[in-house]
Amino acid sequence: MTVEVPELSAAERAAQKKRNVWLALALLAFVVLVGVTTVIRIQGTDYSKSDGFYFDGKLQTKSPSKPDDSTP
Amino acid sequence: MDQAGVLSEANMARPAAAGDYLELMKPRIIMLVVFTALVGLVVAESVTGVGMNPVMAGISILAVALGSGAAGAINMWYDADIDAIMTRTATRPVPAGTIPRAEALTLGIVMSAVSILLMWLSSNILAACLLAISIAYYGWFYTMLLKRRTPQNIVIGGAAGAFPPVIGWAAVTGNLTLDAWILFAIIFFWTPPHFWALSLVAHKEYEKAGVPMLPVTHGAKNTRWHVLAYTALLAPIAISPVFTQLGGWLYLATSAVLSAGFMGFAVKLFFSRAGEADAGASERKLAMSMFAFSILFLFALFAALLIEHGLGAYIPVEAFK
Repeated sequence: MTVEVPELSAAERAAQKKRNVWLALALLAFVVLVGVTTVIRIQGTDYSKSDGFYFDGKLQTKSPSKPDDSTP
Repeated sequence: MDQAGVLSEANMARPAAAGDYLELMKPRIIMLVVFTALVGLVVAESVTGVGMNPVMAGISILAVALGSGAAGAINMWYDADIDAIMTRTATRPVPAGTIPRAEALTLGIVMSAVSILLMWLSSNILAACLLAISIAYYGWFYTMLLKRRTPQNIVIGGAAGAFPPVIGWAAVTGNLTLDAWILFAIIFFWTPPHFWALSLVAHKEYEKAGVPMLPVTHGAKNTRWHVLAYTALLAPIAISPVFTQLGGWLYLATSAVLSAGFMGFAVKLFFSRAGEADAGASERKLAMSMFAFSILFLFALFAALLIEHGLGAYIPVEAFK
């Protein structure tokens, strides 16, 4: 199946290029903002609390039961 | 013309520029939304003593702006058919054919998601939820359900514009107090007289587009009565921050003077022929003057709070302590 791509005029092509640049800048800004908020949140995180925004680094796992020496 | 008609008749007059996308987001509304959200944020910090990282506060305000723009784009997507009919809105990017409808909707949805995510990352889940609710309220509840069905569209829909200071407050504190809801109430009760003053001038446009604004369905006299009633309701609400110690002397003076001025306009409008078939240029001028004054009213009230709490000019009114 072939898809017909409409021919763009010079003005349309220039506008499309400008839109693409703006989109790229918007995406970059979004990435930067997410990065900045993450860094600030990490700096302010109290890792001693288990209900914090970020993982506190301690897994809540059961300690393995010790083998019972009394059993024969 | 139905909405499909607008889509098929879109003549893509010229390639869309960045300015067209900005216009799609209703920049004038964004400015008011950002300003009221900023006041909510600054006042909450001052009243509760809870601090917020300034960078995070800036990103939260940006999220509010993006959310407002997203709701505006969704509104323009849905209302393209009636916007094309009204002279005031016919040059908007979608009815003018510079931005396709689908693109407006896509932009609205993507920006909604981005704004809510940024709000959550920069503040808390409550502020993010409130932002999501306000976008849905304006983009879906007001635009798609109320606007074309009831003359009370402005009253119920006014809540959408009242959310920003509450979101600003929630972004700082993570909860909502009476003061936050007072700021909400001021904008909520301000919206009907603000819009109905304009609709008294533009009622023929709304009639042409089939939008059931109050002057179209209930006549000009009934609308002028509603404007008077809502302005009378707004006056005590506008003063109320003084009783909760949210507003000090500057706020009291500002709200007292401006409420009296707003009430004066409403009374004058009530006894005029504004919105009637035989209304002259002076009546139209009166309605437009009230519309302009209403913008000054809201701006000045929130500016007074910003000066008091942001610049340390707060002097409590001892009589209400």
